[in-house]
Amino acid sequence: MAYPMRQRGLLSGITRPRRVNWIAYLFMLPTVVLYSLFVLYPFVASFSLSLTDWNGADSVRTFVGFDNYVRLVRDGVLRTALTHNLVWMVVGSAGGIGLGFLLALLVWHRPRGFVLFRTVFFLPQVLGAAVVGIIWKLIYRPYKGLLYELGETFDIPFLRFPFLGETTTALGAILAAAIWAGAGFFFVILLAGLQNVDRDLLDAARVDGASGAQRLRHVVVPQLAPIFTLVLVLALIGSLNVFDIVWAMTEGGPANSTEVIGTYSYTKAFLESNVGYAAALTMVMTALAIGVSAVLIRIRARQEV
Amino acid sequence: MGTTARSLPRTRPVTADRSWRLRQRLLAAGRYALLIGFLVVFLVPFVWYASMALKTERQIAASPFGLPIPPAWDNLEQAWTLGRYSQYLPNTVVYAVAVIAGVCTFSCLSGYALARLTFPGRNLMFLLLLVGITVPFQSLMIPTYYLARDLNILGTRLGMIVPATAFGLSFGSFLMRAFFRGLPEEIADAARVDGGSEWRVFRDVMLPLARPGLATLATFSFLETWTAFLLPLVLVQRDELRPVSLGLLFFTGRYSSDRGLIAAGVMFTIVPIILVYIALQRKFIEGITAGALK
Amino acid sequence: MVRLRHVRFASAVLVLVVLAGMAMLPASYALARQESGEPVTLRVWDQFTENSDIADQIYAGFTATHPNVTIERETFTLEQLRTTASTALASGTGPDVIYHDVTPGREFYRSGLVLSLDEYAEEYGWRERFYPAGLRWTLVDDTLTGLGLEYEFVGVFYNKTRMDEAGLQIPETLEQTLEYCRQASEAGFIPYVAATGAGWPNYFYFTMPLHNTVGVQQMTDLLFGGQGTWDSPEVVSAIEVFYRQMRDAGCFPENPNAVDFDIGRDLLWAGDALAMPIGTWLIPDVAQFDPEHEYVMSPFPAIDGNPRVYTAGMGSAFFISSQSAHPDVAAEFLDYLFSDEATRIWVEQAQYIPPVPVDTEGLDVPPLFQFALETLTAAGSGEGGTELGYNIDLLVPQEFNTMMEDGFQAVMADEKTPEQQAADLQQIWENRDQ
Repeated sequence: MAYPMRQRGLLSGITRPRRVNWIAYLFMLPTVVLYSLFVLYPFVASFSLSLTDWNGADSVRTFVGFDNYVRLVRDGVLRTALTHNLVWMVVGSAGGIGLGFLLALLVWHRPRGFVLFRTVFFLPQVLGAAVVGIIWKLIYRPYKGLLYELGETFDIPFLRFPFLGETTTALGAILAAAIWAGAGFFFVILLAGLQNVDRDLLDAARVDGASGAQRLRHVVVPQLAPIFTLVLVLALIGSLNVFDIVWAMTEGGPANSTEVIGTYSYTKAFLESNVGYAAALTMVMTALAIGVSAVLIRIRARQEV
Repeated sequence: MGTTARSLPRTRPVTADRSWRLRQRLLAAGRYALLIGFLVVFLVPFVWYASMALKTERQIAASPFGLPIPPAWDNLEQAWTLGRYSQYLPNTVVYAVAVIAGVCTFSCLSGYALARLTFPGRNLMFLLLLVGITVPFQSLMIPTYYLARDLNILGTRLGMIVPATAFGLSFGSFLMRAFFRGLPEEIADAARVDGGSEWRVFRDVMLPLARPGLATLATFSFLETWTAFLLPLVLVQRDELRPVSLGLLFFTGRYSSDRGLIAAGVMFTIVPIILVYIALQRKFIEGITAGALK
Repeated sequence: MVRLRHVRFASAVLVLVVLAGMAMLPASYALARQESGEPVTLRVWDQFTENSDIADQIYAGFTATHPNVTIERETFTLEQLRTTASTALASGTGPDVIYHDVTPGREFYRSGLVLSLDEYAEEYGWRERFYPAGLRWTLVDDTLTGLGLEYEFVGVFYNKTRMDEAGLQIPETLEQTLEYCRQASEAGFIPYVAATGAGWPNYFYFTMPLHNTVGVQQMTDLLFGGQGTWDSPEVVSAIEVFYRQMRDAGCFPENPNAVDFDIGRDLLWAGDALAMPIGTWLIPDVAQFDPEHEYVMSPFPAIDGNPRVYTAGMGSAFFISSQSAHPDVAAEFLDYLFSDEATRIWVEQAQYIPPVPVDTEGLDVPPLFQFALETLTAAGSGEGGTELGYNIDLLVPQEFNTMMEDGFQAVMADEKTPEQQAADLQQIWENRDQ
């Protein structure tokens, strides 16, 4: 392929040897200073909190070693929450990225009304999780909800189902709202990435008789690889630390059927004053998210070679 | 339309016959049908919510999907006053501008270094940056609070700006790194051959090419700062320094709420974001397609 | 081009520097200890979001007579206070006075974050002025830690106008209730809005039948005396009354777990539902959203002929930070908040019921509120033998409340038995504190 070679390798040692750019440290300096102070340091402090039984108020924080982590293992609610995070990871990521990419492709060639489409697809992002929650609660609600009324009008009993109230469907209902709300995020990033795709190469493939699907698979997607890695990692991380939209819609209920680690740890920290245990929950969440991202980035790095 | 229209004659196969044209038409029609379908799906809930801003609580309770007739203009006026927008808007603009400037500047630098420069510790730094994306603010809130206290920025504008910038840096570096990695390598190599320093390569060659990424980052950074809720609530504390996102607070009661009023307040909060989004996207995307990659 | 870029970059940096400078300007608020009479700034965090103007008005009444005092008021919702208050207080950067829920308030006292008010109570005669039943919510081992403002009780609201139109009677026994549910649903009404989807209403759906099956005296022993358990047959049968018998008799909407507080209220205002078990804080809403209909309150129906009672609670209370530099001024402020002048405004404009005798002369309030005020006054002063139960959510550990929310939703969804729920509650109760 005539497309120019790009720098390969990511986390790996497979980058071709180059001389060290010492200026890089100057580039990194502001980020490293600010970030270490306001993110890494609180994170380490949070870890040390996870080794205590602190309630967030006492002047003494009793060191309890890894007791909180031992408790995690036997915590049934945590297991439930983790399962929900995993479902979210699969369904939410696939749905959000898939829809976002589809939308980006649809407007890529700038059809008439491009600005309108671009703005509208992004709207849910602007609303924020709390408002998205309000809106979707009204869509799902029994009695005068959007779906309920549609079901009444056109006599479709299925639509009158109390999606958020049944323990079997509540998580799926929130996921649908989250995909609606989150697609715009992936849409914007992927669309920006598509602007950099080499049009000449695409035209060449078309002249060579490649079908739309083939052009997508062999020309567009490879050029978007770094952006895809980015959105995938962000989606996976987002599915592990999801909190806002669930809290806004169900607060983890009914009967823990939409509980995720985020809502559970929030309940523990701020409603039950169990700061130490909540910190341990956060550590689990972070460890999982970093683990999953690192694995994903490594896999992608291998594939790129 | 411009770019596509200009490049089309060049790329259309010479053998274009009637059936090919028909297929293209059908394809275009199908694409439009899909686009309009999605438009409806994305727009309807929003329009409906906006209409709620013009309804009284009783109108909403009686028919949440009815038209706002008669329109409760009162909601808007009341929301503006109750939400203290005239007081909170200037604060929010200060926060947004400062955080965007910080996040965009620093993320461009670090994103470029992570994507394009070789140095010991690069992978470690990248991994550590992931922590900031993984951990929600609420989880770091308590230590951050104590830190802000010790740095004497609690209850000041800096109490919002500095931590918000720091939190934005992980996503920012991550995003900009991805965009810089997507750029063709040999453009940079060519500049280096011409004798450019790494700084000049970055500033004169690579940075302009990363503008769509920068626009994306600016948009999200703006969005994040404009809607940030917990961070200013906890770290800014003082009423006269609060941003608009906290103005909504005055509508939400303990066990009850006036939904029309809240909707009106939400409208005031999100309109600036929509405007900024449109402005930024237009400027940067059109800038990049004007031939920068040719 | 290059020069232009330089200019752009330089101006961006300039903007950044200027902004940073601007941000530095507001000085941090160091509070030096001051002599009385000298300027004092009292920082107050409260929850008066909807009644913000009323709070401003009352606070201004205090500063008018104390010209040396400035009040810096910040408003939060309850959820936001829960997120920030303990950190702010514990780090020594919190307010002087905080208006918070009673359970976190008592926890703050145990952690040393808020002051004992015993000395001030003596100085200002609070124990004599306040109804004892209104102070018990903020007592920790008989030490007074806060002054509650929103005295309230829970019962069942009935839309009497619509009930009369439909020829339905307000039921007083469980048997009558089940019959009422049958008749009301046949007439196309939802007999009772049960909003279990919101979580917290479950506290009351449990508490009300509980006081009926267990009895007020036994509840007092259980909550304050450490006698009795939460897994007794009486407790289990209380759960069964609401979450089994009434549910199965069609008393509730199709799926109560899908109904939250907003939906519940809408069903009531729109006339789809006839009644709602809820607290007196609904009264201002009734006047605002459904003024055409007459509503009445009635206690939960009697089970097996046991006495019917309202259960009382305390919304939130004022606490003084133990780090406050001006605790004496803060106490003076608290005393003012319950003065005749202030209580009149709380009652008339905000429709709060402070647990102190209120001058009702010429009071202009809706009849339902008048009724609530009289009920609490009678119970508070011990006149007329009015006995109130307890909103248990204010007297149990937070884990217990979480279990009431999640667990009762599960019971309603048939994913958990009443026995299992009672056992889970008992287990949390046994593990409390120590």
